[in-house]
Amino acid sequence: MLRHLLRLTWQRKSRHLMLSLEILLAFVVVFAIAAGALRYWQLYRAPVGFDGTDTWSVSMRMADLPPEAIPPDTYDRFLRALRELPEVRAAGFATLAPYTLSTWTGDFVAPQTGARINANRMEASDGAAAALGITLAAGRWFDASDEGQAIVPAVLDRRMAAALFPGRPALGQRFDSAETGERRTYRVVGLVDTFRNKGPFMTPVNFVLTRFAPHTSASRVREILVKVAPGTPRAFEAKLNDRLRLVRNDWSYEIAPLPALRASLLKQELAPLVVLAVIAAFMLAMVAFGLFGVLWQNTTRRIPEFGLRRAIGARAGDVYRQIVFEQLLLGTGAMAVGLLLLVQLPLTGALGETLNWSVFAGAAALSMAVIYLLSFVCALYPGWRASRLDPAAALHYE
Amino acid sequence: MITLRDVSKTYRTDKVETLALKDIDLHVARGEFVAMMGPSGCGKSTLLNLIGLLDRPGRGTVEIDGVPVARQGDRDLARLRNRAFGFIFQSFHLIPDLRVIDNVELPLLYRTMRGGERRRLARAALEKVGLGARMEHYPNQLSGGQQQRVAIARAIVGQPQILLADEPTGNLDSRMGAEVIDILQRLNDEGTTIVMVTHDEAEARRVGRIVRLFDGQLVQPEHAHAA
Amino acid sequence: MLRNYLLTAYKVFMRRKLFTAINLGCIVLTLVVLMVITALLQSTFWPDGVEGKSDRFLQVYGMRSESADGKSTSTTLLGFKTIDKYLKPLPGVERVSAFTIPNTVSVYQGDRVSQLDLRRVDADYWKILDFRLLAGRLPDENDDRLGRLVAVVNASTARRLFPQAAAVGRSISVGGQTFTIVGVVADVIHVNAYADMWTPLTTFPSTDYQKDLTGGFAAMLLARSPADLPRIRREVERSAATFVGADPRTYSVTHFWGDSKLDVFARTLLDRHSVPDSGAAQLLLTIGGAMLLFMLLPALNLVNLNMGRILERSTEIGVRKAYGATSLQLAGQLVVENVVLCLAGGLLGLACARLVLWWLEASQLIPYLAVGINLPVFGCGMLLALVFGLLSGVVPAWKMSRLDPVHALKGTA
Repeated sequence: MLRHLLRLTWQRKSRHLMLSLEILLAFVVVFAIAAGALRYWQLYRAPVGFDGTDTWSVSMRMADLPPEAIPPDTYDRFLRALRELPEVRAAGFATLAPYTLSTWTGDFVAPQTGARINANRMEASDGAAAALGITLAAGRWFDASDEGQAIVPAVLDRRMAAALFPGRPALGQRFDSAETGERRTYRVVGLVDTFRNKGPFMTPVNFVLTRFAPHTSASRVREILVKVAPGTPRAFEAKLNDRLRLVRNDWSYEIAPLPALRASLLKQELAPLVVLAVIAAFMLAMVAFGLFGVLWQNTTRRIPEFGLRRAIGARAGDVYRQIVFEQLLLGTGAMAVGLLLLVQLPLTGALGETLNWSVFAGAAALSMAVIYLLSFVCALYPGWRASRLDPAAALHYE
Repeated sequence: MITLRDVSKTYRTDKVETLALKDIDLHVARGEFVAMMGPSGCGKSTLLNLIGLLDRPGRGTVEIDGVPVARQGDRDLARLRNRAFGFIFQSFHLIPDLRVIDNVELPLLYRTMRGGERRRLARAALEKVGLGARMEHYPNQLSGGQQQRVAIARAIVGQPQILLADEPTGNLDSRMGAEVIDILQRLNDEGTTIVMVTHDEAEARRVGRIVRLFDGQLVQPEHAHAA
Repeated sequence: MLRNYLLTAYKVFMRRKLFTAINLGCIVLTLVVLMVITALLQSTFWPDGVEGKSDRFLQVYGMRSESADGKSTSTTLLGFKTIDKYLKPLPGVERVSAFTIPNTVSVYQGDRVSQLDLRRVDADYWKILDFRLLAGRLPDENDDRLGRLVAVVNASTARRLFPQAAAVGRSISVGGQTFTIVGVVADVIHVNAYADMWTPLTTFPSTDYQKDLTGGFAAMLLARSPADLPRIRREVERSAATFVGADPRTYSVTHFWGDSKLDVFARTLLDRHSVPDSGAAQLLLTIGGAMLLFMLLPALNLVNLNMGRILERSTEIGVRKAYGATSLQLAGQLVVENVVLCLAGGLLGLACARLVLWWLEASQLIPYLAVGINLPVFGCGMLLALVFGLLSGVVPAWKMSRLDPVHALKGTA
């Protein structure tokens, strides 16, 4: 019976071409959503490399001043002022605030091979690790013993360590930055497992964290990271603001708890996925309409054939099953073509890590399930109608 | 083996009631070749449908081998249609997208049978009607007479006891029609019971018993002249 | 003849009600989405209300500086000094307004902290845009000159900050500075108008902003009449050519443009900051093309369904052909039927689009949204329906007209 239906569907394939195209299109769209959602899920479950639960970030808004215009002891004064507040547990400075879309990249040279490796970078002060809750996998964070050193200490994430020093332990090694003009040497003092400053949905990248020292660096660091006691109310912000203004009242301060920044960033990043999901829902509705309508039409046109099958001994259930099965077969054909096209993506690595095999497999399974379910539901009513037909009337159907 | 007792059938379409059959009493014995005749609209196709279990009577009983079919469910009816009956229609009703061999083995698909066995029986049926060479062709590549012979092959492939033919030669010219009647005669000689609806008086006289219908009722049955 | 077609169309649709319902559902769904998008785009690019004078003013958003070899570029917003030095002196302009883009600030009220979007604007801002004042007054030149710490809030913010009483006259602490609320305006979301709170420029914590060539500012230039706009564009372009940046060795050339709202979006989306042509026409074409593409799947559906319907009606077609109908007439008949169905779907779609827009406004997915279906959108919607009907009717119509009458009559088409 299976071969018979296969043969039947194959013979009629040209008639079903347009419908197959529609199913193919819908399958691809659902696949894109499923893959996106699964990838986001994958990324979300991986660690970010820091714990920002009780950390607040303060963005210092200053005019367009050259870096030299900020006296170095400003930062010390900030730290002293912050430590006076009883709610503050730790404070540090950084060039990037977590959960904001800032990126700073640079090229570095791998000492053995001489290859240029690109990495995201961030400058952070000695107190930043405590403020952010960064736990080190090996080595140590920056501290006062690094003050005054010509070679700047750096902390790498595992990816960067593997890229710069393949096959060798990275701790204690030196490497250079590859920027034109500013050839700097760094020394690895610690390693972290991972660091994803833009939050759980960020693709893992190479990361280099270097030490910020106000008296020696020429960088302009605008972010203060403050770890507060658990349960500090949001109203603490007013007090914090006043304290900071005591140090520099010509600057303005944007204060936000990291969890709030995280929530709004997550919302922002999920927005495109949501839009895509709405479009996909629309397409599925269209395909459902089309499937149902065409199936209805086809079944009506084939009433004499079904009458014949009943006359030679098919049960009502046989006709019903035949219609549903033919529809699923059609869907399978379209999806097979779709999978053939889509499997090129992970094979050629066109989308890189974003579409790895586990995401592909999950998305394929999910989208196939959706399309099969859709086909099944659309076949239910026409199939039911066709199977209830009276064989005599069906045979003489005009 | 087929007995109809007091059978009536009314069709209701959009508030118009048509009495198709009225008080039919009919008995067809095993091995008979019965021709049903009558003017258009007299109900002979309806009667054939009732005999073949394609339809249920409004009143009265239909019995196959003494067993009344009224109480049988869809599953049992389907089995009877598959095993006991073979249908031949005026407009052939072949599936144009399937080859001849696939069309012929269609009834066997609704039985549990292995593929090889099915093929064997289908080929044998086609040989019997003289179309063994046309197995791989499609219906639209055959002439009218050949198509009807394929339909006959399909009807006999399951070796049913009863063949029901609704104006089998209606769409054929006289030569092809004669060929078809020959095949039916041969099958009847081998022991198959045949009930055939026909317009053609000469054809009817050839086969045997004639049952006449007029306005949904039986006219006095006649027997054919001794051959 | 048309009457005969319409009558047949009606009969055909009524004969298969479920089918027509499916077709109609398909059409309505597509048109609703397209019309909602059209309404949103129309109110963004050609607004009335607060930005009602848009046909009379240009906005300058962003400047791009390039190095001589073109390898380094820097794209930033304007600084106050740029606007003051290069835009305010332009001849023949009625008004120039400098204002910031919205920034999130924290407002402290005792124990409560609220996050609001704040814009700092000059007095001309209030004269170019037509805000609806609900209570109090709008800031003027005196407030600017004297550097008074006054603020205007919108209605939702007023309710949020002061749920019980009127907001006018109250004080709030914004990032440490204490402001007095002097006016309440109606909620609005628009390119230049959106904010929760507005304060004068002079209330910046320091006056350093006046020295910045780049910063977080944008400008609006109000002309005396819409006919003046092309001339003002040229003036802006000329002025940008004379721009001298903070680092002229690295960035030798700077561009900024006086744009309509469509231009602003086009420049950002298509990254055309260095040429006078913002690519607005391209953007509109792309949007139109995307809409057409969007209609493709539903059109495919309709084509499918129409094809099936033809086969059903093959006898009717055969009869018409046998009585002398030409292929063109038959094709025309099917197209008319399809277009009638699509126009009916269009009207239904408009009603549904109105409902969807109401829902969007209520859900506050886009805050302060207020979009209506006005005449241009209605016209656009009907045009879309017409295009849709033609698109999905042509192929089946062509196939139908090629049917052989003999086969059609015999039913073996």
